[in-house]
Amino acid sequence: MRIAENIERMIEKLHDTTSAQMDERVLGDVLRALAESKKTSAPTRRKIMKSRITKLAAAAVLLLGLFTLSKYLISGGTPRHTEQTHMATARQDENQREVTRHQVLLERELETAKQLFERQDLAGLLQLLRAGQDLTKMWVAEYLGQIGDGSVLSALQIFAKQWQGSEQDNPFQEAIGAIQERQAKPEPQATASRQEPNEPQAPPEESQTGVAGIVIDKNTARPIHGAQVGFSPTETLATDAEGQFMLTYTEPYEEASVYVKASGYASRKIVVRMKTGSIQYITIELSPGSKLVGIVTDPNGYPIQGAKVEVANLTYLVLCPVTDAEGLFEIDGLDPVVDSYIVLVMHPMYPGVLVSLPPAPAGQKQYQEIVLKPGVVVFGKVTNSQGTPISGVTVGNTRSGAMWNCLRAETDEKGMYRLGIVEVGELVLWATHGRYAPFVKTTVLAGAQAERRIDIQLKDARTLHGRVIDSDGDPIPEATVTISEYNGVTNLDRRRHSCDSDGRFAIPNAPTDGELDLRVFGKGITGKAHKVDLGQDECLIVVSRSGRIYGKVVDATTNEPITKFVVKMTFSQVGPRTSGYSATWADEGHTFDSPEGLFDTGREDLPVNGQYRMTVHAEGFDPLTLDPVVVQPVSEDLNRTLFRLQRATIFAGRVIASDGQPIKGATLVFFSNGNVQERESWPRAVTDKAGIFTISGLGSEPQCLFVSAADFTPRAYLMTDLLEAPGLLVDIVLDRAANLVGRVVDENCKGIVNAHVHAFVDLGRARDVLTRFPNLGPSIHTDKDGYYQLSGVPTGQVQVSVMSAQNYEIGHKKVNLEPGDSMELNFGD
Amino acid sequence: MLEDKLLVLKCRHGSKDAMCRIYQKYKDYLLTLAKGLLGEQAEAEDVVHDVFVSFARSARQFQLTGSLRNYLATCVRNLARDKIRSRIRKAEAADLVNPIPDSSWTDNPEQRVVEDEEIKRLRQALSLIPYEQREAVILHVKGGMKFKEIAKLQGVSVSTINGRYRYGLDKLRSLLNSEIQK
Repeated sequence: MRIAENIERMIEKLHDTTSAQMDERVLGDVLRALAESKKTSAPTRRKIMKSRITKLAAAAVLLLGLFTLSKYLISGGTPRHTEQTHMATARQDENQREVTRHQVLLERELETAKQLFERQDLAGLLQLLRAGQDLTKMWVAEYLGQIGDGSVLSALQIFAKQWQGSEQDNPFQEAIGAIQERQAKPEPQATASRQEPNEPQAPPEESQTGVAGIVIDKNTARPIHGAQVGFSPTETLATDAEGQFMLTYTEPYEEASVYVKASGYASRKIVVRMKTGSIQYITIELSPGSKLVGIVTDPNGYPIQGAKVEVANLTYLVLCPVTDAEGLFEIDGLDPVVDSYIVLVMHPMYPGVLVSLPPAPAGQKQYQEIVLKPGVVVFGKVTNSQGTPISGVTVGNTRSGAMWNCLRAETDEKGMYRLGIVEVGELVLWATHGRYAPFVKTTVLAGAQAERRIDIQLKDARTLHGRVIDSDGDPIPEATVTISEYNGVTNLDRRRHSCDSDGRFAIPNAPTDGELDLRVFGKGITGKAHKVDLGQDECLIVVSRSGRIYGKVVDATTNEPITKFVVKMTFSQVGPRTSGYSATWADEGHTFDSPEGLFDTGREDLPVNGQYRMTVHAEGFDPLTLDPVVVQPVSEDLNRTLFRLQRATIFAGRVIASDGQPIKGATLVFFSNGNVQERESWPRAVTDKAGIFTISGLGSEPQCLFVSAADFTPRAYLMTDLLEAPGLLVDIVLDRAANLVGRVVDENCKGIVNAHVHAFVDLGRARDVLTRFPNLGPSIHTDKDGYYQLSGVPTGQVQVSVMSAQNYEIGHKKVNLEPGDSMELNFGD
Repeated sequence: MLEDKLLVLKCRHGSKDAMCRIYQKYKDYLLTLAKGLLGEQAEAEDVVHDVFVSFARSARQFQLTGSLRNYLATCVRNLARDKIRSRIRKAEAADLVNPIPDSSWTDNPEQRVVEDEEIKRLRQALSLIPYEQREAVILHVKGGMKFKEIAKLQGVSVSTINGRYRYGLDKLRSLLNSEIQK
């Protein structure tokens, strides 16, 4: 036995490598064969196969083949041939099943295309054009041609170029022709977003309202040709060869969102403050983006087609794909600087799945396998306390108590409801109706059942009377009141109840017991949830009046106003924490263009005397943060907060390896207390081939610096420690990075999929100035067998932690690593 | 697995890079298998060549249902079997008893010098065991294929493959032992 094992080991040692001549010969022939196969690709073949003559010929050949085969079998084949025939039959069956599966998928796709066409859903049709089967693509092209919208031209042009058949049969070219023909006809109200991409644009007329500008690469400052820019994620036009664009604005709002995307770059959304009758000129910088590539399968590993993959927590534009026949999807334009993003996968036959993922580094792809598990169909009957069925009741489910991903259904005339596929596990079921008290029930769904009946009995409602007043006791007329939360479920009833001139309101479908929160909306007041004591006859809601922050931005040296600037706002870090502002203030900020350097918080309902942290950015100046800035009542007598901006300081430095060689392409990110939690807004610099970087606009707060480069150990510094002279940093020396490989297993030694392995970079002296410590360092997810391979790991004593996909800690280890080390580090063993 | 799926998908759209990546990824593995089965370097290279060219020709219609590695290994096994058949036909025509001449087993002089003496003896021993047994041993140990998969390929039961594998190892053991005693 031992010898046998040795022989096995010896066989394992057999290893042959191909010679350079063989590689050359084989690759040459392989690539030629691939190119030849291109000439006889599927669409052309399909066209040939569709002809009647071919079908007749095929039938004749098939009959002849069957005749020969039967004759041969009758005459008696050898056992080997019989064996081969059995195997061939099995293969045929398998192929037949595959063909049938494809036909079913094709029929579904064509039906979807038809429905999208009827709804004129351009985004949906474009997704199908990208993800559908060849035949579906041709149908979609025809539909797009019929719709005649110019925004799809660039997509059609890509497919037209890939067409392998004869040019006169090219369906994509036909669709392009149809659209162009339609566009040639004058349209009375044509807008810029319907223009031909890359078409030379006329100089903007002064009476127009809009945005014009240039899209450039943030690192190289080169214009980006063909970037898609628009006021909506789906209606965009392409920038010209100089990266320029012009958008005409027809909406009545003061602020407009401009969506920008380009292949290989992180997509962005920018908020621009519009001025009627004038064109705003902006420069949009795009940083290199990353991609997410993945596969969606069922628990048996079979690919799932038609699953919609969305990236949830992004403020910028990312087109969401649908998985193809192999379950594959690809999302481009992700920002590699964010901590993580949430990927939501939805399919009509499975409960949705939500995965939190860290992005891949810039220019790289991240691979992710997502498994959709079967769910349970929940149905039942809704009756009143007398057992009479109630129609028109809205029934839904939630898990976290929030409504963003719930399923909803309405009861029919027999009081029956049927929810779609609900995730196995805890189920929070709720129901609302205008004449009955809201209903909330928590239960558990077992995975073994395909369907579960849950009947609901609605209690009679009580009318809840109340009054809305401000802190001075004055009533708030015209305010509206809504149920914001009942027994832990938010926004289950969206009905709004108006207040009269005395601030009084009545909610006819209030519950008699349980925990109820109300929310008040109205002009000049701040929105906030108010808990209601259901034991009282009338509830009194005291709301705060809202105000604004008024500011003025000037050059600190000359005291002259700065006309163009961006204002960002977050909660105060020194005063009481107050929310109530829209996410744009914290994310991208609002752009202002004022000859007097003035700004205010506009329509935001901020509470009077509320305190916020405000940062003003202007080109050529260091950003300035003031905290706290106090909200004032809306009045004529303004007391503006003055923002005195200093001229920008430029810092320069060099990143080198321990052998003194410059490191090209090292990324440096700068952060401080002001932006430590807004990783997306951290200023970045990349070293050139001499290892040199420059950065400006860092602000007056103590700055920290994080350096990373491929194959080198990442490090964090306090910037003052690196200052050699004003604006000049000492050389940053990086050692070779270490590598970690290993496996994460559960208590049964089974690999844990999608566990998050993170090697932390020590913040060092940066800890002395920071109030919050960001997690820095490389991280990766384990594969389906629980294995991981992490490169770019810092050296010295390194902490490595592993978190599960559900965010609980699996393990935490400290290891000592030398430059260039490769270590095996397992968790859970 | 996922990477293979993506590579195949790209090949279906005519990507040369993807095809090169597949070749680079599996060429040594397939050559080792082919040489393990055939014993002869030139024939093994021809088999690997034919497998990749045939894969490239059908790449645009190719549907990957299982593992690409196993698919390519199966192709190598099928072509190797054809080569063996052709050798037997030629040997029968020439009235030879052993279709594999010993001298052709390691026909590359440079390779012969470089290769470990132990491996050389193993290759020689492999050439002397019946082809069905050799296939079971090589595909299982070197190809990483399960008995069930090999049984499906050879169109026999799993227990037969188990037997072929065991007999193959026993035969190799006795051949190598006898050589040691010499």
